[in-house]
Amino acid sequence: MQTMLTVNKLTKKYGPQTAVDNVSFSVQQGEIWGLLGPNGAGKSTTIAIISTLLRPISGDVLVQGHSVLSAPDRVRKLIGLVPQHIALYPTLSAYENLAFFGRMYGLRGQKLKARVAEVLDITGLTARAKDRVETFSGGMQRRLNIGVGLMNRPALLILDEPTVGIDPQSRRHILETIKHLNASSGMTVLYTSHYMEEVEFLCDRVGIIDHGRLIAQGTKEELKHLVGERETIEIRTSGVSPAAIAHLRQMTGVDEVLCAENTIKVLTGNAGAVLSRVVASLNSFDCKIKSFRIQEPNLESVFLHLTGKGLRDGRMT
Amino acid sequence: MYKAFVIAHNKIRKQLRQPLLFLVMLALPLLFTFFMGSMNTEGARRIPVFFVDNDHSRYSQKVIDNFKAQPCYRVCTGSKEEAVKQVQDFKVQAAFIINEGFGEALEANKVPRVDVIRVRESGEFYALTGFFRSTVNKVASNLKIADLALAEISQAKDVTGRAALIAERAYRSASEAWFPQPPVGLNIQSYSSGKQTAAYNQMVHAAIGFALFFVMYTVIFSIGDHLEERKQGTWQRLLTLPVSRRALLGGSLLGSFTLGMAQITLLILAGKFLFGVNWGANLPGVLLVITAFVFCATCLGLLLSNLVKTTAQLQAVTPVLVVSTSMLGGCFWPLDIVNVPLLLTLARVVPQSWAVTALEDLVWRGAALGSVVPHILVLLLMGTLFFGLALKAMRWGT
Ligand SMILES: Nc1ncnc2c1ncn2[C@@H]1O[C@H](COP(=O)(O)OP(=O)(O)O)[C@@H](O)[C@H]1O
Ligand SMILES: [Mg+2]
Repeated sequence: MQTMLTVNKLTKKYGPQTAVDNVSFSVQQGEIWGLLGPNGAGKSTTIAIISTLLRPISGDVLVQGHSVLSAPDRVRKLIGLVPQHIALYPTLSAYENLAFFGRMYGLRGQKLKARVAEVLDITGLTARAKDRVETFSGGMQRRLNIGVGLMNRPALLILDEPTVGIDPQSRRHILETIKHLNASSGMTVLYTSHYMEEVEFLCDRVGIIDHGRLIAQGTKEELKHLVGERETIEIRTSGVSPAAIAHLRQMTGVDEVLCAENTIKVLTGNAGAVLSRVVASLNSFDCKIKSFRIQEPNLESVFLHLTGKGLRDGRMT
Repeated sequence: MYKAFVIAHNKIRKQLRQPLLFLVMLALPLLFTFFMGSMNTEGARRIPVFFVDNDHSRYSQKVIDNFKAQPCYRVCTGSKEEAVKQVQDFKVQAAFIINEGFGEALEANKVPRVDVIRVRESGEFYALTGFFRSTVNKVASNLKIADLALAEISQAKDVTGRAALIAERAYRSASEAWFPQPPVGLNIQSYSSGKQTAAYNQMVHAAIGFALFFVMYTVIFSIGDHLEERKQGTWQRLLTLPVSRRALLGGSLLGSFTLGMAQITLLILAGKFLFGVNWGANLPGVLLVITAFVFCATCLGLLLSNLVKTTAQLQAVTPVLVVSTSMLGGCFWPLDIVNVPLLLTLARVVPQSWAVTALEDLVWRGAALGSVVPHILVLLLMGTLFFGLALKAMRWGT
């Protein structure tokens, strides 16, 4: 297998703040590589450097061997970028948006027409091709945003949180489209997200980023091994007090406790042994338990294990 | 090259997708032209006249003083060379060269000849020569009457009781001195290209001024839309595509420039067909000046939009800048009526003054293209300067 993307000791600072801190990884041709991390972890900054928008302070990025520093134009032809924020012309139609960006890739005439039609088909927007983008729903705009990134049949498709803020149906459609593109045409994909489920569903290999540092990378299985044999007890309650959480943390057999939106996650080496004590403790703090389940290790528990916090929001109690 | 054209086309298309804005940019200048053009400001405008006094007699002095006392004329004096230059530069409507012997001729009841050089034939010019003749006439007779009265008074030791007789004799002497033929002969020489040109009227001035004023808004906001594109992310997206910065910038400039030219062309046509504005005989010259001006304004917009950070800031800065420089530059009222030297000096710094002056020279002074070449060069130079500064201030990424 050939290496599509090599990120080598990348560092970027905004003023005194280090947004990307000595990040290295590589993506093989034909795989879907996931960059997982919470908001502010440095995902978009990494993407901006890979896509030649920003220059790093140090380090380099090679796309099929072409450096973003010395041959940015070669890189631009190889990649298709789907930025985190929808970057389209609202007063132009879907067709006009695709055609405009297609022309920027040098497409014209029949070739351009054919490619626009293809991309409209892939994104499921053929019926709305003539409508202005400003009349589209958030989900449709997201799909078109991806469509623009596909115009040049990129060797490397880079998607930066392409499903943020949309309905489950559009999200499903997008994830399946990406999977299909990868499976059918072997398009290499770099996918960033702070949704564990998306990365779990899509990616072959995953890097976990936090505070600008890539703290772990490998296949999903390799990462889950980091957590060891431990399981997660996920408890949904009607309401939790900080005191209850503090009490859980001190319990023997409990490794990490995470709480977000009335859901408590307890990372433990032996779920069977601690479960009854956890339930009793919560009862004593007047927390009504709605449901609970015991989970095998997943990427969320990997992140919890590595950082002591959750992916979705840094709100730790 | 192809990509630059696509970018230019995209810019124009986006602008036209806001049809209301485009209509307003056409309707507003026409509305202003109509109202300001209909206002009678003839009283406010002083017609510039030049005098060369080679005679230095009481007569020549009085004639010039008489002109100076008129509120509708602005009188300059100097040598014949200066006079010729001023007429050639369209700085004055006409120059009167009062030759030696003017006073003596009048004294001797002979008809003196005065050389006149003028820009071209016009109603204003005939009014001017008519006024000159009657002034000479008035001055000549008044001086004669004054002399006669003085002579009578100095002869008579005691005028009491003889007043009626003195008055009668003075009247008869004055009547003898009256000459029925024109008191002065004029040798008229024209300096204009001789082509048909538009007469000065307020409508022409308003049409020129407001077209220039409003086109500045169009091009500044059009070239400044990269601020909006940065906000919506399309600018950053373009930077990650295989598009050279040259194409991006060139296409942007071309698009805005084309919009500006389209607007001003439509305004010229509307002025002609709606208000009957006569754009003079030198349409190619007018177009050249306008092209240079729109180029200059586009580059100014590029500079401005790279000095501010957001569209809101651009919207705050632009009106202040455009209105104040347009006032200085003579877009709202003719520079002829400005007589504060500092303001006239400042006017030369703003591009509008060069465009207004050049266009007025072409349209109603009938200037040849050659005489507005300096104006065109100044506009192009200013534009290039703005462009260079804009490149320095340019932030490409975020
Ligand atoms: N233009 C910028 N100026 C200053 N700080 C920035 C800028 N962009 C991002 N940051 C900071 O850099 C860090 C990484 O941001 P980002 O790469 O956007 O993270 P992510 O995409 O993972 O949410 C954050 O702390 C963010 O506040
Ligand atoms: Mg981001």
